[in-house]
Amino acid sequence: MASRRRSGRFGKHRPGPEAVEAALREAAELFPRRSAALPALVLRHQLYGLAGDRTAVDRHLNRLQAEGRIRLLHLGLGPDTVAVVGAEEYRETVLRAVEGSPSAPLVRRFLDGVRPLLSFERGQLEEMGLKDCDVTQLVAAGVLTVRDAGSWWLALPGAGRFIRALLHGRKQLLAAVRRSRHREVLQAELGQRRARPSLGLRYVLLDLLGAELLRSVPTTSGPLLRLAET
Amino acid sequence: MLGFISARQAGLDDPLRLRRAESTRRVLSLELNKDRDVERIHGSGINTLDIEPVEGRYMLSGGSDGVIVLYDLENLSRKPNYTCKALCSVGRSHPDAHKFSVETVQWYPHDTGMFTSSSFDKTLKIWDTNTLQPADVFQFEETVYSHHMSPIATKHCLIAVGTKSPKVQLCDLKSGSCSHILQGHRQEVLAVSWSPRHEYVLATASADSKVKLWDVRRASGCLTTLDQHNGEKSKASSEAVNTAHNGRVNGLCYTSDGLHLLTVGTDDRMRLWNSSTGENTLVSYQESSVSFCFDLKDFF
Repeated sequence: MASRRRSGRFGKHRPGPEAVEAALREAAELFPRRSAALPALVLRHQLYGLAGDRTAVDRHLNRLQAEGRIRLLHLGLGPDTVAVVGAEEYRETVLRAVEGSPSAPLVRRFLDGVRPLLSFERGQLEEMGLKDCDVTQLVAAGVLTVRDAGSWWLALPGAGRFIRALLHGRKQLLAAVRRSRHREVLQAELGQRRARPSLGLRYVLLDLLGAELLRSVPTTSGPLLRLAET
Repeated sequence: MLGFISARQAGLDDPLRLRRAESTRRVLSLELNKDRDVERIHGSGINTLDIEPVEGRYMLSGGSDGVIVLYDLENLSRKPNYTCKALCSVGRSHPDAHKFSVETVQWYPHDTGMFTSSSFDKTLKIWDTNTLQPADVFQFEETVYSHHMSPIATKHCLIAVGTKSPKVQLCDLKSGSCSHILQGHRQEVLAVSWSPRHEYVLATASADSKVKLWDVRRASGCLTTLDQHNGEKSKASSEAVNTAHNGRVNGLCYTSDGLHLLTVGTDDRMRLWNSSTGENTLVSYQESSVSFCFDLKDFF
């Protein structure tokens, strides 16, 4: 009896960091690698569904960011939407994007000294040795995005294409669900509708479920997707 | 349940586990009490309730028509079916009743001889319970959204008042005047709450998405502004952009031990903070989080 695992409603085993890592890998594989310009971007809310526990995902991602293994980025999809990308991949992508332009050495200096944060303020940037004109150049290069007067989000240059593809894919899938007779579609049938998002059906579906624009209801014929009531 | 009890008895589980399991089970099976009822006095919506902390017997309610009613919650009849009677009320005909909606009522923390009420008519009134007359009235320039008096304070009698103006006012009961102003917020202050652990620590929530923790003895400003992204707290960061929510922060509540602070905001989120360090514990309170744990493999 001492070795019997306590299970049941209250003794449910919380998914640990391994589950979050597995979810990260799974979601990263879904990202289509059409060009080398973009690293494998995963949105944080996509991991909530794969790992099953929002608290574990948030905490593990924060820990990984503090260790410097990943970077959290702001994409411009909303104040809560955060993208997760590997630290090395981010560095390579940014350097590749600014190669040849006059701000390349500045960007390199920024990336070398940057701390694992999502948002930066003028004081913190000055500590890194960046003056106002440097910051303007970084914003123009796409590495920083303006958040408020005197504070900036960390961003990815060239993410515009990804955001456009994601929003288009979202619109396609939501329109497909809305067009159906009862505004709900079985997940297995979604591929038969006229929805072919360029980022991949599974990727966009994970995104919609995580952003709670679609709700998944378990039924006897498989999960059913319904529009979230707003 | 019996398994938990026998494991606790045999020493296989630690005591906290049984306590958590049982309290979770009770919270999840919460239901409206069919036997108890409260007499209906208010004609319109009820904005605030407070039960006195000494015995838990008397309850105050404040309505949006400015009426304040006092109830006795004790069941003195022998029957299980019981309606709690209203003992007295400050109605519309009372000469000193509030003119507009009452936003917050609170019993005096140490005894039931006094209670405080604040209202949209820009006043905070201190009432004597026995005579139902206001012992003191504090006037403000803007509508009062919320007030709170510290439940554990012995060295001060300050009432924190959150109004439409960005300044938090502290009114002293002993002297009858507003003794402090706390500056730091940029828009109206929607909720204030004293810490149940430290009698000088106050938390305020504002429509500018910020939650600030103050030590009222300090002259130089707030202790921390809570940051939902858990960024760095260094000398270089000015905390000017730290937001607790992505919208207005509507409500604040300390846990009973004062170690954690819950905040709710118009971005549909509820966040739990560690009240001593100010970090976001990242606990999520969404019931929909369990509903879509699907496996991508059995998909197409």
